[in-house]
Amino acid sequence: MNIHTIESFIPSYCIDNVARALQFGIQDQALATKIGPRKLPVLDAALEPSDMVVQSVEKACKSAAFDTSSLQALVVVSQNGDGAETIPHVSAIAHGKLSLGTDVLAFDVGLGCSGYVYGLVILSGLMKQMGIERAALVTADPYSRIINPEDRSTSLLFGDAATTTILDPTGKWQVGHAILQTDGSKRDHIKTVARTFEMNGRQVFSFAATQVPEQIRQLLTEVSLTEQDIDQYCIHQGSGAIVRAIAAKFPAVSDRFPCEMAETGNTVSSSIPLLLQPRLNDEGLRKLVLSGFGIGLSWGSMLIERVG
Amino acid sequence: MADITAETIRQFIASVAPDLDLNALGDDTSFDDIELDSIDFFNLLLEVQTYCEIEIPDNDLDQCNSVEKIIAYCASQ
Repeated sequence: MNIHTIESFIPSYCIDNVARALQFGIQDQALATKIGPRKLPVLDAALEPSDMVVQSVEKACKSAAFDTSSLQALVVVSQNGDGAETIPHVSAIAHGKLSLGTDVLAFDVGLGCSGYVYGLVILSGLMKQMGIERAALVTADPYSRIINPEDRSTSLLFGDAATTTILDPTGKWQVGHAILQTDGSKRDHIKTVARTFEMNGRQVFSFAATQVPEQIRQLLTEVSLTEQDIDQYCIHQGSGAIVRAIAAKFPAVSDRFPCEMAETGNTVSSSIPLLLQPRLNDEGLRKLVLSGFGIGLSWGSMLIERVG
Repeated sequence: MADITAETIRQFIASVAPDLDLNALGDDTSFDDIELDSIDFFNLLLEVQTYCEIEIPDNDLDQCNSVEKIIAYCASQ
């Protein structure tokens, strides 16, 4: 199955992260090089995660010139339901708001920053199994709802965004081989306590800087490609420091790891599709590696290739 | 497990915090007293763990906040 279109919904209201960093005694240069975002988009209090889903799906369908009624499946990667509730699931709420037919299946994938790669594997496999021609993979997780603004280690990182990736056989980018892994023994390193997000920054940094390069190397071995064969490595934008730490493990191609989170921050499962969105029509790109990592702890890497 | 030296640790520090003035860093200088921020420190410990093939638990971080403390800690593992 192929990636046809990616569109995003990014809230217009943003926190000035430079000012917030100064409140923690962090200067502009450290913010830019170590943390990353200068602005953090925040979802309007009047909107819910399902509204982000609806807006991004409608935008993607309009961009692709597809009617929303042509979608046969709606899969939403999210861990934050509407309001304080987790039942019903976000995809069902969005399904209703989009007035999709009862033959359109919808379900959530409860993953964080690894969710986009997992979601591509799940949805492309499902489409093959069920003969589905067109489907939407949506990422929508407004972490502003669970972040403690006084927590220095997380409040400077996360921004809200949603994306929709439309999969169908006519897309130019083929979903390829993937590796998915989980280490539940480290699950407490990222968690919520009473609906407030907590992260052990050191353990997550160590995990990502060691496990992600190892998995990417394994993926390249399994598809018989070298580091140099990959045009770009679109990895989860966890922080400026973690993107650089992972890139540093690939010194020959470290300049092929884009770090583009200044305007959005860490948008959880949306960060990889936000990187992909402007690259889909770049004819100079033929092979990309995607890699997401986070809650679980879980991590997944995938090769995508231009076919058209 | 490989023995780690002050020189090796200094090389790691130069790698993770290239803007740091290593001349101002004595073996007993606390990392709290220099411009080694928490992310640089995480990166340094990652290098030490990989080099020495050990795991440094979060509870032991205060035993690793200078060059000489890291050497002593690694020797005790």
